[in-house]
Amino acid sequence: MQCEEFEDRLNTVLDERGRVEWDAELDLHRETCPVCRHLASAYDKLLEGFYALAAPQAPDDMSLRVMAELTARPAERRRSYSRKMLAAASLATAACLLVLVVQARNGAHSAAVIAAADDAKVTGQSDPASATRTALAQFPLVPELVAIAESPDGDPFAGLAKETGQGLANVMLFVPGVGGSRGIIDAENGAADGSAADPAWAVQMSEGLKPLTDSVTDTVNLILRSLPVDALASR
Amino acid sequence: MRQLVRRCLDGDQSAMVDLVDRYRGPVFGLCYRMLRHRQDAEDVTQESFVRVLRGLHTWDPQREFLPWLLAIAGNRCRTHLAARMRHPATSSLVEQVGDDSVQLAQARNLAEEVELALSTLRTEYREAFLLFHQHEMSYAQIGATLDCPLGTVKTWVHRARRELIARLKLRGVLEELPECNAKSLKIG
Repeated sequence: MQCEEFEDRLNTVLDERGRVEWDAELDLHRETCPVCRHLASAYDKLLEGFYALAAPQAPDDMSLRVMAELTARPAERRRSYSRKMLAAASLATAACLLVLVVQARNGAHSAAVIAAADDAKVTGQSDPASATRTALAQFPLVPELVAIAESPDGDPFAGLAKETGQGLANVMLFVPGVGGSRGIIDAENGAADGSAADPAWAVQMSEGLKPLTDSVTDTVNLILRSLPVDALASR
Repeated sequence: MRQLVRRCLDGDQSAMVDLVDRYRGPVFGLCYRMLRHRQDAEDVTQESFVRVLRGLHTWDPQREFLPWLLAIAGNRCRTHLAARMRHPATSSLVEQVGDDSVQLAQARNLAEEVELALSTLRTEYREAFLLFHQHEMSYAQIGATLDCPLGTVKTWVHRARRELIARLKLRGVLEELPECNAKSLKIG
């Protein structure tokens, strides 16, 4: 064995929770090389010191504190949920109305699209998915909707509903004061600034929903930027 | 464990208390060593358990419980450390042990020196080292806990050991290693 291999091999032995003396070649090298003996002794000392560290004692009342927190927080959250949900629902409604207005101005026949698909569904005169696909192709603003209509589950309305749900979630995520003061929710950590740590809510809002494409998100955000979101969010 | 979790999911409060009591030691141990501040560690431990109990339905019974629990506690610690970085004013609360002579005098024994050295490691090295040596988790478990490849975990633990030794040497706890002049020394 060469000295330069010694430390790597020593680490491997430690990885296996072994001891130097259990590895004959390592042990032999250590016995004959003062430098590596010194190194092995440094590792021994490090671990000896680490294992001698007194285990920090967890507070005895931790379970009481946790249970108190579990009992106390839902009530607070329900109040904050309702404010958040109200603001978000208002924004989403406004955003939807704006989408319809913009689409109407751009010549997209959104109402006709939905009506045509509904008619097709009710009468069975043609394939509703096909009718919707054709109709959605007329949307100049958000062409991604056509791709949604092509979703493999075969039901374009299911895809749209999911996307609308995600849109609603995105409203909450991006509007300051709704999804935290910075408006960004991380499902694991809550708001990025820790002010509205509420992962269950974010997860619930996003569960089963498809991610939006960037351009759809951009469109939603474009609309949102034109809304008096601060006033709504601070309600 | 699955039975205990099921009882928790059914809303059995005594089961929740049992779960916290069973795991508060390892969770608090990790938080304390990560945050180096008792009050913060208590708060983050509490917060971790609240999250765990609220998100218990997301635990996959096929997975081991402790690594999942420690992953959540580790995430909370990292979030807390990041917040501490953003608000440096609060860092005065941290029970820091620096390099000055007063603290050297306070760190009277090897264990305290190791603890001091640990506190200076990069967060990911420290966490990987603690999960391996303190919680005796395998590299695969640590990889799953930290959501990174096994090879990366291994590298972090090895670097942690090397850096700890280097810091102990700097503090004079360990003697400087003599230069190796026998790189080609062949034994046997």
